[in-house]
Amino acid sequence: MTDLTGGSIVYQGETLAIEPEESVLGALLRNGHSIRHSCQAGACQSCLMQAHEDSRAVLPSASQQPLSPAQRQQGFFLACCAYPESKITASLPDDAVHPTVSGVVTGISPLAADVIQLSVKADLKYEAGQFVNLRVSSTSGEEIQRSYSLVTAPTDGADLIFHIKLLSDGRFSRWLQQEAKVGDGITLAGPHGTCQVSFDDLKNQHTVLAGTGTGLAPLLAIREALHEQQYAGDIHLIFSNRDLAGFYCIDTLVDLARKQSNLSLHLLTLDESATAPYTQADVYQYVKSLPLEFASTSVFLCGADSFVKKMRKACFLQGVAMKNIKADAFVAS
Amino acid sequence: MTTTVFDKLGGAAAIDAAVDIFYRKVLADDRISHFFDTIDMAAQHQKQKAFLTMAFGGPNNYSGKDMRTAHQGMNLTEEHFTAVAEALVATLQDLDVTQADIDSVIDIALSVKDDVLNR
Repeated sequence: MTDLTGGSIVYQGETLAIEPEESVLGALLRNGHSIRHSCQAGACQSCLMQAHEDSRAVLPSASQQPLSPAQRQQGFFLACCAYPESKITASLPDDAVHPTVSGVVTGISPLAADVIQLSVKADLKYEAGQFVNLRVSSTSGEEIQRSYSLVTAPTDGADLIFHIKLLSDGRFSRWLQQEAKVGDGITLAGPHGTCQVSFDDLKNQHTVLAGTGTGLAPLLAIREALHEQQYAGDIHLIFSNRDLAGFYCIDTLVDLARKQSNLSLHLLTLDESATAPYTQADVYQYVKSLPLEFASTSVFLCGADSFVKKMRKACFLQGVAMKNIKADAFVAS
Repeated sequence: MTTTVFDKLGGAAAIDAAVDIFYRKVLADDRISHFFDTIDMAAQHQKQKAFLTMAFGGPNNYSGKDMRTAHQGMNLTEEHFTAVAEALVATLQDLDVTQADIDSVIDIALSVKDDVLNR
């Protein structure tokens, strides 16, 4: 391969030139990326990265030398020892491959006009608030993968539940509507995500679970986990959608709030025709009005990226510690 | 042997709380808050933590080169730098840090001024 510009690294969609005598790690750090590293000599393996399939053949051998044969085969390499002469596309191992488990579809049922509940039988170890990548093959042989959160806290033997938002141009949506049937095989990769209940959260007086759209799904799992761990503080579940059409599972939520004395439900919308149980309110203002001891509050945010960013700021400025704000932002793909 | 402000405050664990106080002050300051309107707060928080760790004399993972790259193209002025420095001083005062220690922190902050202002 003749590449007059020398080596480069494609990271998070951005192509960065690598200067002479500079490693992949050096180029990433120079461009302001935060890459875990320590010894910079191939020993500590802190800077382990994974090359995407089409880049594996051109990985410098020195960058893989300290690794196991299995790791080398999967394209792992050490960024501090990689001085490539051509273009390499790579990710941190966290956002590349993870172990997978095989599952079987056990149920497909509509929850709303554009939300389908998918049940899967699989032996997956996870924590409430996490998500997995669901991978299926369409009849045309195409592999389709999308990330979905688990709706329930882990329970031995129980089916895994997912809420799938149907998108008009979504490939997974199309598969679910047109091809999927009970008994189909499905692969689960993960779990991923850090929007989980910690010991510190259980000590806080208040918990806010706030989401938009199917961001409700992981919040339901977190609510269940808090309940199972006998969390004694007040839980405020805020489900916010611009339009009334965005709400689903409302009867279930109202029922939950009636049965669980420390759970308050807030169904917020900007729709002017909203009546009970809905409240017309701007969620970013509304959260400030809640009777919370913000310094002793944990916040879990799930939904659109813009929602997560604005809510994180609103909660932080009210006095919630940054470490007590956990989030899982949906990225459209 | 001198004890750093970082150690006096209680090391890495205490920095989280300090960053929260500092960042709230920064976001409340109209002179500089607009720089943070579109950024990812969680990622920014990590950078603030690295910056404060350095300014407090803790383990330094934050170099002038990072500072220069991170602030390039923002057209920062003396006023912006002053606003951040004031937020830093107010944070230290909230944390009951002595004036002598505040002075040493400001000295470290001033050492990266040219990098931040791209001069």
